[in-house]
Amino acid sequence: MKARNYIFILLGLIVMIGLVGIYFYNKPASRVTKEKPLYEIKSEDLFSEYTTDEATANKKYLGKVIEVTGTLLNISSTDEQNQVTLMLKGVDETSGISCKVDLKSNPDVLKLKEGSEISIKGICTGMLMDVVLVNCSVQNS
Amino acid sequence: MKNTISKVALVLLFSITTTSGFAQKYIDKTTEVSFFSSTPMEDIDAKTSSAVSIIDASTGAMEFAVLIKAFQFEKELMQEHFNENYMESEKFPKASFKGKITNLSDVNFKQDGTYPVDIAGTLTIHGISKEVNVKGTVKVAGGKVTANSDFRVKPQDYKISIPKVVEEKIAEEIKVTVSADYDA
Repeated sequence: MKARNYIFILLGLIVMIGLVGIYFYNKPASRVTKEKPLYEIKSEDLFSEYTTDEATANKKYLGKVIEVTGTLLNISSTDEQNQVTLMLKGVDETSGISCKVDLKSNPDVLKLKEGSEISIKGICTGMLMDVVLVNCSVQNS
Repeated sequence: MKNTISKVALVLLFSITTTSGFAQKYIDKTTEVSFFSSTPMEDIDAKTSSAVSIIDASTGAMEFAVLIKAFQFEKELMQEHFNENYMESEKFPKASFKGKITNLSDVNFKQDGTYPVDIAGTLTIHGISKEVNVKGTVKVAGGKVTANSDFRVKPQDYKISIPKVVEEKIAEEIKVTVSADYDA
């Protein structure tokens, strides 16, 4: 092939790499996780693991996608427009697994009944007074 | 006998009512923490509404804690860099503040009003603790207590290293905002 053709191919590749780079640079952060969960666990067990040994629980769950099943204690709105917080039972009514759910990706979440057993998939971000999951979605069992 | 019992009961009742009146702890598990960095090149902001903050009205003690991985950015790449490169959130999953309101006598938690407060304490980010003094506002309206504070943080003070390549994009001082609505 002529040298000119090589140059065109090279330029084409550079442009493609550039476009891919721009795509990833500007990619919006997702509000819901689509990955498969690494662990499936009951809300009481997750809470217990964190209260027993937070460092070990973080080594296992921090930053990971997990699916938590438990009793829905309450649904509350946050000051953020399109978000609600679902609280799953830990030990008692005062604290548990706090799950941040984006309303746009989960329009049916407001239909959930307090006291029902539900499964939530999300990313574990650690524990303060509750274990906090973000980018959550309600799973159909 | 009956006399002593009623006296003891009276003393007990008195102490219970007075302590419950004074030992007022205000807790918010949905405290919003956001930060903002502005440079000519780029504006970066992130926020979370899952932070926890507590005010003890009787001592003026004030604390808050936030999970680093719970900060939400507009762009995914920024969120990744923030966690993996700058904050090293696998090693340091939380940032926290422990301190007290130094002008507690200027605040009346039981009376509606807007009270400017001075807060002194220890701010811990990326595993590094520093003594800080920040200003805030405590508002009491219709019996509900809210608190706000804006302060600035220098990443380099907390050994957060910004690579030269992106130095222009991240401000030397980051503005942090904490906003809480308390359930008494």
